Amino acid sequence: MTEELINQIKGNKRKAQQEFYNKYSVQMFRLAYRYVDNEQDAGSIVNTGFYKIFNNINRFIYKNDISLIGWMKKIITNEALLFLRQKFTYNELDDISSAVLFSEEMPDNNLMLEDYYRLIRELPNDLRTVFNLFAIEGYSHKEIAELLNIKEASSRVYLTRARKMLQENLTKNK
Amino acid sequence: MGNNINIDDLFKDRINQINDLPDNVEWNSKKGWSEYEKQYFTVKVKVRRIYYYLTAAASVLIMVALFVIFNRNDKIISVHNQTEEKMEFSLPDGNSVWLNKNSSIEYPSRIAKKQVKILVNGEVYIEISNLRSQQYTVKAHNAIVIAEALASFNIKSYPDEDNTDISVASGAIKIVEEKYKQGLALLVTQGNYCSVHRSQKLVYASINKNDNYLAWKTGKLIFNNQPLATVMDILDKYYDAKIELENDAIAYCLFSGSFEQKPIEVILNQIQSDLNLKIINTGKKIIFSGKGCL
Repeated sequence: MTEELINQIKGNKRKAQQEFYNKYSVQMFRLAYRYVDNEQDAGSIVNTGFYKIFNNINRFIYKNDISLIGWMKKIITNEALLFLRQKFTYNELDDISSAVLFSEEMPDNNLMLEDYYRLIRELPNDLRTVFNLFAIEGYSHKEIAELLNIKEASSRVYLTRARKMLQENLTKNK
Repeated sequence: MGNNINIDDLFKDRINQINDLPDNVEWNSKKGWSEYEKQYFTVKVKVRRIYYYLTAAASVLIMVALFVIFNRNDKIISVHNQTEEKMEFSLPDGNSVWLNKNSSIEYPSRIAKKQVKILVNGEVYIEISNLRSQQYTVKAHNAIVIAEALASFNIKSYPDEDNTDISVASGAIKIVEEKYKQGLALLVTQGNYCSVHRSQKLVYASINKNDNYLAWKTGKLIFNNQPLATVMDILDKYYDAKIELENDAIAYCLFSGSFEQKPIEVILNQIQSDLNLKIINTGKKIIFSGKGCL
């Protein structure tokens, strides 16, 4: 099914592109919206991402939907970072400030799924970027350092701060 | 440390469970697509310099020659029609070009006296009504069309099709397969068409029996006692409509009619009443049902 659709897109069929967009854009929007603070920016990230997806799909070899979605997520993530880097600078942070201890208590989670999404979105921009990349997308500190043009140590500090803030907010929301 | 890992996993797990639209968002895929169309499906005209490559042995003479060439400001103009409509425009020498949707053409900004090289992809109709150059060569995949006299012709050469079809509306053209020698050029005259296969490299010509090959340009569709199966194929192509026949017997019904710039509904209603069939519209596709003509 998906493979057939991809082949039609390779023939540059607009209808097929639309069908494909309808099928996957919401998922990609949710990804982009996790990185930026407003939906207009998320929408334009999704669209430049899809433009790249359609233009590179000739080189993509379809195996299954999981690999397809993984490939698309990577493209959208890159677009989000491209956008963010134009807008913000990611400062270097030193290690000392991250020496914050966590409380041992893991909050109860009687929260809704959407609450977790919202908590990530409510993080300050730099913490949000690093937390998304590391915890959700699974990038390493080394990769994040390269992507954001900061030191690995700074990436670790951002992550620690993000975790701390999330944990505090989880407890607040309990 | 254990806590840190837990908080990552907790969020990752929750985030991966939701794939529908976030709360309080006005964006949706329909709006997103309409933005996409506005941004990317427009006519794109690109002007590009012709690049000349220099070898290490480039002499002063070559440098001088290059200077002259650059001063003449040779450029390749490439037009890509990404709209849903055909478009019409003129080459720098005034000859007319119609470009179908999803099609592109590249031509030089300056018309040389000896030869004009044009590159096309998709479907294009070219009308050579004045010979400002001795020879116009139009390349579409592995087919090369050569016009050395007044002629109008249609080239259909989409990347997902196996053949390049060239139909001659007036005059005569020569057609060569890229790898053959010029000596093997095939002369195709008015009312005939030629098909060049992409991989088998066949070039063959015959009388053009397709009344509708110019429908994309003229908006005119003509059916002359054609079986419904053929009619459906044509409608599917020109309207991108998914039409199915409920049983094989319907495919044999013969239909005649001529339509100019009409929406597909008009044609479908005509078929329905002429052939005593019923249209079932499921929203996604249209099905013809009835007794048929066996």
